[in-house]
Amino acid sequence: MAERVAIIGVAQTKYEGKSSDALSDIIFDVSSRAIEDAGLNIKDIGSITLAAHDMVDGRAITSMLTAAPAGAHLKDEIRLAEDGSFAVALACLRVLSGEFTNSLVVGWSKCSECTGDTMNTIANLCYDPFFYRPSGLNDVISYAIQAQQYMVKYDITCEQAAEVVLKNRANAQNNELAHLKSAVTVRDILESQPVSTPLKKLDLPPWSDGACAMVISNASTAKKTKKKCAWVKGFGWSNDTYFSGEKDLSKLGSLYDAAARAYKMAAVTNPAKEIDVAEIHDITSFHELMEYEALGFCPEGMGGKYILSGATSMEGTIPVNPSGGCLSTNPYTAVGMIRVAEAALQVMGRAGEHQVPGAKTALAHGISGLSAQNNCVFILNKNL
Amino acid sequence: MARKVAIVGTGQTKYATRRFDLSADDMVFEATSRALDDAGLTIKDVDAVVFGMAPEALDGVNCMDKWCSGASAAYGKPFMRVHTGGATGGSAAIAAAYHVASGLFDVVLVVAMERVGETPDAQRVLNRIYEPTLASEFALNIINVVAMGTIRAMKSHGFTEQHMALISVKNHLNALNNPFAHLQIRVTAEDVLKSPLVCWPFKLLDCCPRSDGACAVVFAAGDKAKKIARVPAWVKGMAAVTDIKVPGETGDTGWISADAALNAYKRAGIDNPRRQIQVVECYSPFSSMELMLYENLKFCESSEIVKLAEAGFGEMNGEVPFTPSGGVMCSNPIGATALIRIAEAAIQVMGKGEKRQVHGVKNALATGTGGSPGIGSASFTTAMVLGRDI
Repeated sequence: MAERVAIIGVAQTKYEGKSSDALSDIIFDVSSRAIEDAGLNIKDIGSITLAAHDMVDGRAITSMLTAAPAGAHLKDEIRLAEDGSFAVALACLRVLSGEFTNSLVVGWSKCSECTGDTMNTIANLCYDPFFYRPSGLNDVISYAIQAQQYMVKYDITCEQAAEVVLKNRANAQNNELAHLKSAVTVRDILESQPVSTPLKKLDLPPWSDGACAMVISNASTAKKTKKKCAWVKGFGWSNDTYFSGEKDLSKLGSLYDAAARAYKMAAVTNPAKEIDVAEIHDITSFHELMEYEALGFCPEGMGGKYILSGATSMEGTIPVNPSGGCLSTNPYTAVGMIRVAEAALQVMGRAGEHQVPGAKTALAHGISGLSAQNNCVFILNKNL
Repeated sequence: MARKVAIVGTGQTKYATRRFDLSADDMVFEATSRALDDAGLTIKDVDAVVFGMAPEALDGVNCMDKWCSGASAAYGKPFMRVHTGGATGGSAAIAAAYHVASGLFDVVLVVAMERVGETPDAQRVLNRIYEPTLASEFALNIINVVAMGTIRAMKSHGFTEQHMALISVKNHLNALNNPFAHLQIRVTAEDVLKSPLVCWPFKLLDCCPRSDGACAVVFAAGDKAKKIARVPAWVKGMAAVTDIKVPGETGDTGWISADAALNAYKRAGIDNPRRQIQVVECYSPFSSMELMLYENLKFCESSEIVKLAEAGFGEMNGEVPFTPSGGVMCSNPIGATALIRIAEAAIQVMGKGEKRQVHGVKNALATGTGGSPGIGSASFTTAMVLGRDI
């Protein structure tokens, strides 16, 4: 990157199982607070990038009713139907082009409106109507198949995966915005209700309501802000095949690629040493282990041993998900964006109770699609 | 933008009510391959892909971009899906152009697709774009909302059903020259006026069809674009503007925001579109919208609309041809439609229009429109000015 961009403002809602606020109120709240956090006015925002899924929001074109509370009136606005981390990437591209000085990014989901089994049905509808859909596949089953393959190939145990849940749920207790804040034990996790082998209820995230917003700005604006900002050193995203029979399900193919792209741009050669803190999309406990490997924190197949080493705990060499991650808070489309926001707060030194002391370089990761088909990685730094 | 961006190739499928012969990813593959062939590139040359698809309820498959990613040359590459309703194709193209303009990618492909034929009643799906507690119950849909805007515009601008019929005749005639067009029928003004009433003032032949189809466009960075294409279509200005309006607030000029076009003109250095733009591929699924766009896109004052319509302003041999392709009135695969406008505008600039080519095109304008006014709801408009010279 010849030019540089930075995250200069961040806002999140309190995440909860069922918010009593209307979706538009939630969106207005984070959008206005992110702009305020950046020390800007809505007039300073040139472009807006949104992330939302119609099916989850229950509307045919959700942004028709959600663009207004996100401040998009007469703004250059584009909406992605992807995880929010991808919207952050598009916002960075728009600022890098030189056309925009400040770009607002907003992502949200109010999963409580998808009652009963609706979220699984929405996921099932992502499958083609001929082959996959009639078999009853959904997102959870797609993750379970990956977890199973990963376990078998590398002798990963349910106990090792439970350590991920234990860590993230414990971390969530230090995050005032987290949804699930109750303590769990390894036994609770292992004995929780089986959902799809090997995944049990506590290996999976809850469904949450909430939203996240941030302001991306060009270098000259970022340098002028009085507050600390998070410089985007590198970002990359990539796509894997949709057809699960065509890929090695024991590894997250497009995450390897997305990470390689982000590391190359940020000139990170030894992620295990250079990254101080990571916020990653732990869509299941097993996926966090697979992500350690794809991100190069540990060698392939060593994710289980790596969690046991304590390297990713708050006191470890790379604390992972100090905020409690997706396993504690899961407002679907916003999850990856929350990872970027939390990574930004870490390098800004504003993560409060879950701050990793002295964090300079942070990694954030988001997933879009079933069986983690698309992945997006950001490297943020305290310094330009 | 510091970095220059150009369109170097386009590809389209044949549009039809149902493409029983191709599944969704087959259509995407066909459009993608044709765009790469047109540019003389291979899948290896593509650095990133942007996908466009509008409401999934039309297609019956959620997040179909994921299914079609392999067919869109995206495997192992950066890939994201844009969805801004009817403006999707325009927003996706603009997102792709920003990929290149950022300096991070040299060649970026955008492909958009829709299978409207999968839904028994598109308007029932489109009723669900409105505010769920008040507006949806009011049985709003795109046809009756545009009809209301049209009635108001007819009253204030003085155009009539006869003037709208002239636009329909012109577009159907143009579609006969476009091998990809869905409706290829010759109609007279009398046919239009006598066609079955849909929602006054719209008769069937004032309205677009529902189509299956896909379109792809390849964007490349400055120096590369010159090497790839003999005549690249340079992106001189673009904008995607969201406008929040309630129907009572829209004013006499109708409900389509002019801001996207105005912002694109500003970036392109265009101060007199009527002189500086030689062809327009506008997003007008209804005959009246094209008349309203004459004024909206600043080709005339509102008082001149009738005069221009009667003089055949937008006909192939008129002063500024509008939609030589036949436009949205003759092909409307919703998520792809605004991208087709950009592809067709690029075709005109590149001189590849064959029977529908307008002579002497230096600058072409492509627009997109999505969403709708409603209770607190957004309209999305996109505009891109393409030129023969940088």
